[in-house]
Amino acid sequence: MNLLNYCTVNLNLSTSIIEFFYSILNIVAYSAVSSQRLHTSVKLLESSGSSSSSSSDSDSDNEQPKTKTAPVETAKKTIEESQQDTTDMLNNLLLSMTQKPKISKTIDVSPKIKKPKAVKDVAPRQTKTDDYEGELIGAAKKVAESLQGDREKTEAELLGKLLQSTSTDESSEGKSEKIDESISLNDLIARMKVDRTPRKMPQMFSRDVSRSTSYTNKMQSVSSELRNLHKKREPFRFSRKMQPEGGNLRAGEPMNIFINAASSLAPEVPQLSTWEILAEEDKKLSITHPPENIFQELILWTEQRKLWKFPIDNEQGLEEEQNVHFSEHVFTQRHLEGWCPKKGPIRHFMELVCVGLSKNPYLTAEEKKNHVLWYKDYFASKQELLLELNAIQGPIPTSSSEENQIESQ
Amino acid sequence: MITIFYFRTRRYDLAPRFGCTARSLMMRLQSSLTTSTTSSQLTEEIQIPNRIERGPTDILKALESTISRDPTAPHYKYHDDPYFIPQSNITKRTYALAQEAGRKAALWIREEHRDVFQHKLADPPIESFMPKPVYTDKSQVSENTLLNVIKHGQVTEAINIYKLLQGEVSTTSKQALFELLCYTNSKDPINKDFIEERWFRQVSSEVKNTWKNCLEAEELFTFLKNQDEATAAAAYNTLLRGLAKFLQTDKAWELYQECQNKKVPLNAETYNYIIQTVQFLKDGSLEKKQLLQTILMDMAAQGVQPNIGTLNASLKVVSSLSQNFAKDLARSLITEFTTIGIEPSLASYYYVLRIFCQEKGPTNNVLSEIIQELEGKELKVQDPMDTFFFMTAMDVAKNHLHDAVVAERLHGLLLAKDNYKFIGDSYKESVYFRHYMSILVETEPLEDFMKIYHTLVPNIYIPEPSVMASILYAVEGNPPEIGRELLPQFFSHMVMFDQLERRNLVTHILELMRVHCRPPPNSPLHAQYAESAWALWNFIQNQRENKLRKLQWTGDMLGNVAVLSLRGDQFDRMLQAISFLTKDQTSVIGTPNIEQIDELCNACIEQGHIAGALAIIQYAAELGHQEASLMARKVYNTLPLTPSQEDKLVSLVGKEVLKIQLSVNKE
Repeated sequence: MNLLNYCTVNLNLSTSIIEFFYSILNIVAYSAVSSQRLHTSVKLLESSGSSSSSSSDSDSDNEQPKTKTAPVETAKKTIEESQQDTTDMLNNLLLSMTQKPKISKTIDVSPKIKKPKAVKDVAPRQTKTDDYEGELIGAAKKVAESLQGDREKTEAELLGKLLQSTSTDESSEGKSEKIDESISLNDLIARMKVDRTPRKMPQMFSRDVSRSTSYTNKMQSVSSELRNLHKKREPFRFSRKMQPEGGNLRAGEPMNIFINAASSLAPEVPQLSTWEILAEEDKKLSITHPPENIFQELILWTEQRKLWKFPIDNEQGLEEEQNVHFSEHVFTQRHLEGWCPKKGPIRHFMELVCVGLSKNPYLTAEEKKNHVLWYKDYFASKQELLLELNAIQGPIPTSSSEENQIESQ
Repeated sequence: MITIFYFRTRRYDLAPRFGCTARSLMMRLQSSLTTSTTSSQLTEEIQIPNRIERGPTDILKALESTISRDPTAPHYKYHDDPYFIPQSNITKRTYALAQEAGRKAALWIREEHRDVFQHKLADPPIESFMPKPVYTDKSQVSENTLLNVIKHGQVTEAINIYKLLQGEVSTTSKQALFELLCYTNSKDPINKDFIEERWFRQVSSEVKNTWKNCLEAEELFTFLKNQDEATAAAAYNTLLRGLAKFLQTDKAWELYQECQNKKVPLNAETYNYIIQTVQFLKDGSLEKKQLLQTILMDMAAQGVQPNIGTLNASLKVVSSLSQNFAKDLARSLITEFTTIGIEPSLASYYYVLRIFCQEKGPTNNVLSEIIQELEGKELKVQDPMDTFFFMTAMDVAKNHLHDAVVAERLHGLLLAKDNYKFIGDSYKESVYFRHYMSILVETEPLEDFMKIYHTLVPNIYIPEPSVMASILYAVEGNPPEIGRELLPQFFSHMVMFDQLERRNLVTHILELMRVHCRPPPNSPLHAQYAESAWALWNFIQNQRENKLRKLQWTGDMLGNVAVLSLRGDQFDRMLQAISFLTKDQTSVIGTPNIEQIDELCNACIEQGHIAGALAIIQYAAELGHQEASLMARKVYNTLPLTPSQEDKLVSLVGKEVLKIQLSVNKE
């Protein structure tokens, strides 16, 4: 992070910085940074190079305290000479970078989700990085010299930061660990994007200040972010020592509260059934979303009991008749026995009634029986007339008289 | 619309015809077997598999699993009519809720005119299609009606029936009613049928005491706690849960102490609610931690078996602790619970993320571990907070880890199996996708990003202005060749998503069109850019006519509109923009920059449009641009001016400048 600010702010301080940056970029390219990030960083170089004079104002807010200690006046002497060199270097750099993309694509190690564990062969990358290491150390020395501060410290800091990320890269085994270890470098590159924001800042609107708050907010957030970088860096490094990488979720010491507890002495605790039903319902509702297709809608309607259930059953909803045998429904003539004449108009009528009842799906068996018995009572009440007409041979026992008979017996 | 007719007939088919045919078929099969196969195969017994019991929705679920979401089509809930296909977040919400409003209106009419809806079309009758019965007299209700109403969670109705019955119900029913009142805080919950309302509802995250003292509930509690031991215990449990659920923490704690003193047995779920109150009872992290441990030990001492809710409640408390304790305590809890066979649920991981990935804390890669564990697993809903996981996890991937790989893995997890149901609601869904899109646009190459953009936008997700802004920055960060073709599309999307009134977006995209992505000469893109610019012109002018002042012209925007029109061979439009700029200066904020003015002036000179050129020079001169004199010189040299025009030029840039020019000319 430190490093980046050196480069953006004091770009025209010395050509050696460019060299240094170039080496960093190469390292970056070989250490699992996608070509896109690489590109953004080039973009940044380009922008800060071309408009360094204009952006220096806004950038100076974010200058690191360390760079401020560097004597700027002495460095200014070299500015004039190095200006031309700088632009040349930049152009070369850009040229070489634009020719690079093919290479950087082949080593694009930002893998797709399918193979999170895929670890590329480390050996070839190793040799590459070694080539650059020497170059890098040299470049870092030059930077330290040009900054004229505490040379050794600066150099050590620069190298320490970089070597840390490369060495951990090698040692890391899983992809996930690698991500965490190189996070500072990733962060570094990712945040370079942010740097572009102030450059493209459109002109401020003098007449309408309130409207332009979105820009100023953005500006403030960017600058505060940059300012925070310094603060954030400390806990980063600190925490890395204290807590290696990953959450180690399962690595904790058990509290031994429940593990040792004897579960046998569980008392009789009442279960709140209504509460459980309501809670269960709420849980289900939390994952019930508007249906996404007709089948989901049909499922929903079935669950709301608005639809005929599968498998289709004609007798759905007729649970009370479930235990009644079908013969009870069909053979209703048995209820004629004992009172109905064997032949004649009444017999004929009653048989028709029975046929009709046997085909009726809407009545229960009990209702059908009652229906037949109603006719029995009816004819019984008219039996005097019927006897007179010879429609029946003997008297029809009414249900009440039957009961009387039973009682009298 | 699907209309279902219920035709009912009953089977009175006596002849077991199927049996006969099946038997004859078997015999025929067997005879063919004996002729064609060896005897050894005959001895093999036919294994008839056991019948698999199918639920009512199993067939539908099987059919449903064959359909996957088509990102090119709008959501199923919207009418299949181009006019009704929503194109922005606002219309998505409006159309869906309009449909819901229709549903509500129908329900209201059914309730208002219940006498008209008494006919029974369906047999068996469909209860949810019938108006709810209204009870006004004791004779109409029974204990069963009360229990039925309680089962369906109808609070007001239940209280009403209870009053009609004058409290003459069994103790079990009273307990059931008491549970209902405590669970719902004596308020009717949202009707379950209002699925869209639930989807679009924004649950306020405000944490405060919402407990409502309900007269009936208090009466019930006083009655129940004086009954036999088991009933009293149930009543205590219920009230404790209710108080804790609606954050009446002080009373809940008092009651908890009372229960401990009276040795009232509490069950695990009740303990879970009590644990949740810990973060409101104590202030310091250490005190909270101690209290949490005390309650857990108390649970263990009582022999209560903890469940997943206990873990989640504990982690919730831990997430409110300071970082010094939180992580280790969370780890201990998870180890403890996995040892006794309780695996964390999505809600546990949600709290873990909140504990481990705090904004100000060090970067932690716990999310990768979690994804590793969840991948390939069948996820079940175990806690209402489960739906918070994906939103928070994507937030962590974007803002904490800033890692596109993790984001992609997380997204894969969401799309796997049936996991999408954990997305929560419309708000959480859009937050999730906002983070997902932002991380992708910041880290992935623009071409790759665009593939994902095209699958998700606009039917699944519509980018918010902030995401659109980062997309534009990505265009700027890429070579112009890539962005050039995309800009007209982004512009039309901005029109579609109602983002034209966002000044920062509009300004940025016009600037990109003019400078960064400037197409080569004779490119057809110039015409497209001009059309986009003119669409903006029409939009703002319409707003002005309708006295809406959402977006005002800025000089920069207007200059860009003019320049883009010019490049698209729309000279008239350019003139229109210039005349607006010069004549209506009070309604334009700021001024165009000198590059734009210069380009416009040159164009006027090339076209020989003296009036336009003069207007521009006048404008530039009034702004005090030094370039005005250069322009004046150019006009003077190239265009034949009438004396009055010449006079004007002189009055604009001063005699001296022009005289120098004149003298130079004469030489």
